[in-house]
Amino acid sequence: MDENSGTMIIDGKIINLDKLSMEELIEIEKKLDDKEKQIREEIDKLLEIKEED
Amino acid sequence: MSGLDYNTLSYDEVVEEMRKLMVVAREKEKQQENPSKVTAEEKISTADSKFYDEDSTDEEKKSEFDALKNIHGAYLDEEDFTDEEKNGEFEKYSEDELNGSGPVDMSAIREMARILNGDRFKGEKSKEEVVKDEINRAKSLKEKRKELHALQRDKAKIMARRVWLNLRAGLSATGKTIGDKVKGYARDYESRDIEIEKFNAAMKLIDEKAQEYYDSIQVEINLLQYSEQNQTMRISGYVNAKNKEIQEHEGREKEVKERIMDAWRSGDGKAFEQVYTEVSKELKEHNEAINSYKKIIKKEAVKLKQIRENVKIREAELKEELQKYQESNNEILARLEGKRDTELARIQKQNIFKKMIGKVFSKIFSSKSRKNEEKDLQEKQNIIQEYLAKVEKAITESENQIEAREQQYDRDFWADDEEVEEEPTWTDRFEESRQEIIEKSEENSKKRAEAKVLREETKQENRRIRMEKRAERRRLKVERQNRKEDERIAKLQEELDRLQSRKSYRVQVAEGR
Repeated sequence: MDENSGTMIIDGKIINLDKLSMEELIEIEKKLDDKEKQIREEIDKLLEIKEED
Repeated sequence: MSGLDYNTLSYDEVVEEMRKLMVVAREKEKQQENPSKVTAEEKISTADSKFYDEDSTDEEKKSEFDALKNIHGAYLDEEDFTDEEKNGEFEKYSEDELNGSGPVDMSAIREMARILNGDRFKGEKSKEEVVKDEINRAKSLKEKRKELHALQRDKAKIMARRVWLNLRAGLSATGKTIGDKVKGYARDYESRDIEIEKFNAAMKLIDEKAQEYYDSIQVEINLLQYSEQNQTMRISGYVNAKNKEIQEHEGREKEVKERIMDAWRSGDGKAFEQVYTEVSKELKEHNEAINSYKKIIKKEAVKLKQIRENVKIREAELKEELQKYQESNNEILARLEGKRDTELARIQKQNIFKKMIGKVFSKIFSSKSRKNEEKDLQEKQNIIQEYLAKVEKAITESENQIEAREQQYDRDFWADDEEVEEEPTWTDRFEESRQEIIEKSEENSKKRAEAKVLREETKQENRRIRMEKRAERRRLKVERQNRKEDERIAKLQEELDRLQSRKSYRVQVAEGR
């Protein structure tokens, strides 16, 4: 009754989600949140330039 | 405004004027935000006020006008002003217009400034470059969005994993609780089984001991009775023998008396004396013997009476002892039966629990609708919780029933001892119950094995469906993104064409002028 989540690449490293603990998952999620925020800011900036034009 | 007609101005003049106006507008905004600062507008206003001061001389007016002209910029040529205006006669303008804060349509100015102030018209970049920049920006936007989607996908995966771990932890905790409970009940069941066996053995032992005791008392009573009988027989035999002897003596006495009488009748004095002496001696001996026999008989009779009394007393004692022993025995048996009944009730309760657990597991494992793993798990958890609640309720009810039964049993026990002795055969009921438990346990094991196989199959099937769906979604997404990009490029191309046509039109217009 187990579910395999597989692997993903974070910061250039291959990570197997099935081998991570809850704490490690939360930590990675935080990192991704920060990264997402950064990307969203960059997108907003690009869109802002467009609006100004 | 200052009465300028934008239609008569050249392109560069309009641009310049708009820039100036923008400067003024920005300065005004800044002034509103921070009034202490002296803005360009303030300078203009000061110059204007000096310009049309009625007390000023023409020279002064001229010099102020020049100053004003310098502030407003090069676009203010002398020919743009009438003679009256040059002389400071601005009556036909409103105060606001003269102060530069009149009905200036800022949004229109901003819109125009936006158009005119754009980088593409500064001559720094060509339209092709602008379009190229646009395309690059669109590309980087696309890249960023792609990156964002990938990141969101990763986040979703992590979140899904977290949810899964949480659910699994929750489920395994619940499962463990159930397992522990089942194990606990199984242990209880085994220990109670053993206890019941012990009760049975104890009851059997008590029965045997009681029988043994009863037998031994009976034997003693029998022995006493036998002894009494024997003694009676012996004494009566003895008495009979002695009586016979007495009768014989009496016969002989009669015979002797007749001999004396014969001797007396014969008249022989010597013979008579001899006979009389012999007979007297013999009679004396006989009388002594008879008296002795009578004494012995009397003594024996007293002895026999004593023995009979002793036997009666002992018999009564033994009967009393036996009765007490039987009472005590009955009490112990009743207690043991009470305990046994309690244990049986608990076993029944465990049966209910096992049945419920079996239902829970069969319900969990036979569930075929696995559209969503998380939802499914949640449902299972709910089912387990629900059944646990039911089990708890059933246990409470069962315990109440047991308590009620125990109380009833106590009342019955103290009310009527015979009724307790007439309880139904519990051994059979216990055996039946145990057999039923074993059968159900086997049945549950079988069902569990079937459920496991079914679960494994379902899991494989679900995994395959999920993989297919994922692949399909990925394909559709790529298609959608490609389509969007094509549309975007087409739009940009269209924009490029439009700008090129505008450029050529402007060039034509400029050349025409």
